[in-house]
Amino acid sequence: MGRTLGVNGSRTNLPPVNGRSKGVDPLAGSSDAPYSCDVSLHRWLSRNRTLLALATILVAVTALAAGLFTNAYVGLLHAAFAERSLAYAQAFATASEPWIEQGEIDMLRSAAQLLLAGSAIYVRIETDEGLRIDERSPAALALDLEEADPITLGSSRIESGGSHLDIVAAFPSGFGMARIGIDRAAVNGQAIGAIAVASGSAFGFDLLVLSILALGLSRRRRTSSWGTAARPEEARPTLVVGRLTVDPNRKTVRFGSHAVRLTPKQYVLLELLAGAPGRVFSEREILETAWPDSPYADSKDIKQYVYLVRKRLAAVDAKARNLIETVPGFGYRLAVESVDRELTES
Amino acid sequence: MPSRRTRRTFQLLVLAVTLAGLSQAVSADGGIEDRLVAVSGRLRLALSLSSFAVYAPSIADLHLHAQQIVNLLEGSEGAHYVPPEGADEIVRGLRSDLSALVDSFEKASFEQETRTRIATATRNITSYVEMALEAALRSLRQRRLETASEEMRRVYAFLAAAYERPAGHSTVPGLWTILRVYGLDTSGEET
Repeated sequence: MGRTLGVNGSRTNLPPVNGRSKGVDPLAGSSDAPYSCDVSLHRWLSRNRTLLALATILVAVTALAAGLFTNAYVGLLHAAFAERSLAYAQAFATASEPWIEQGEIDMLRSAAQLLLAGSAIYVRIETDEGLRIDERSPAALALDLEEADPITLGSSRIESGGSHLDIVAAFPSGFGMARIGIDRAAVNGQAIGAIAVASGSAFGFDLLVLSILALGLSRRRRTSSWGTAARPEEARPTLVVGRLTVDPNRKTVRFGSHAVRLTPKQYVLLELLAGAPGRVFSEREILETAWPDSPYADSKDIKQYVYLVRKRLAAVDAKARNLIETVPGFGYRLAVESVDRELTES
Repeated sequence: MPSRRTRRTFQLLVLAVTLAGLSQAVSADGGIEDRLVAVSGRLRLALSLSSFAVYAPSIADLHLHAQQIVNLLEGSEGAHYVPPEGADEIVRGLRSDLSALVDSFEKASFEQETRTRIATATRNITSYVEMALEAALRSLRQRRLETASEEMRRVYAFLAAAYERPAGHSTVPGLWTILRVYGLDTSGEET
């Protein structure tokens, strides 16, 4: 018995336990599990490359669109809020003028307090005679409201004061002005809501489109495989490797004059190896051929099936057990030259 | 209906504004002149509040002013009146004042022509006030600022119509403002 056959034979002749071989295969080891996981992941990625590419493009496009939309919408919200706040302050300034003219300061103060119950955080009324009222909410008590720059008759000014808008509106007749701080909390809440809705919509849209795409691809793949099955296969040449004969049309295997009974999966494995005698097939290649639809198959399955094929071959000829050779670190190959030599010698 | 928070904050401050409005409007229990002053004061205050509400920066602000208008128009006997927290006194509304005014007019002696003119005017004022109240209540049911603001424009329009002349407290611009900008206003009225 050749060295290669002997080494491999002694390592793989152990019976499977719970469907798995307990043999110490050169491919197995401390890095076996991550390797299998990598193989499965790689297979899944390679099989769904189109879907992944579409998903990446879709997510990028929707994220960009959602970002642009949200930015524009939030900008509009703030602009509309500022516009309304300015008009609000002008309305108050216009209403204040006759109250001051008629000496109804208490009325003016009450109206200012009413504004503070809403979004206003401070209301100041200044006339040519000086400060008339300065009503503030607790949040604005610590604010240092510097002297407002004088403004022209009938004009208004709006400035950002951080969390609030600082608005100065002149009285229509120009002898005073109202200065009002409007809290931005309301519009900020709306903006957060808009961002949440836009993000949620984009995510939902992505999910919907990707689900449809995945479904479509899956159906297409299935239809394609059905189509293949429905078409009559062309006659394929019989593979003859030494004493091994593999007939792809009849799905039969013979070793010498003996028929080797194999399950479909075992047959596929052997046919793959016999297709290129001597060539080393990696686990990835074997998995893609023998387990094309199972992302969970891994190197342990290969080992088990190699073991089973070897066992079936050994049943017809003890030396045929070593027909399949394990190439440590690379995969498996049909070591037909060694077998022929051994068989010839015997 | 306004939210609980709006209602609470409103209740805290509504008393001050209402009382100030009432004190400004003098007692409505006096003679015809006193009642006219009371109606005029409440109407002008309601006009100011509706102008605030039209441009309110948020829906909470708008509802605050709208409820204040409802209180001013209905008084404490109204079905939609929101009483100030801790205050259970009776507050007269514009409706009551108008009703009292109509009674006073009926008892007063006028020439027939004057009586007819006054009767027509009070009917108009009552109708406009009712329409303003309905619009204010509709605005309180709105959740969108734009829609509620449209209702408050109606409130303002009805109250301004009730006041008849361009009101000195008005700040919702109309054709009169544009005419004034172009120097075409010939009424000579000051705002």
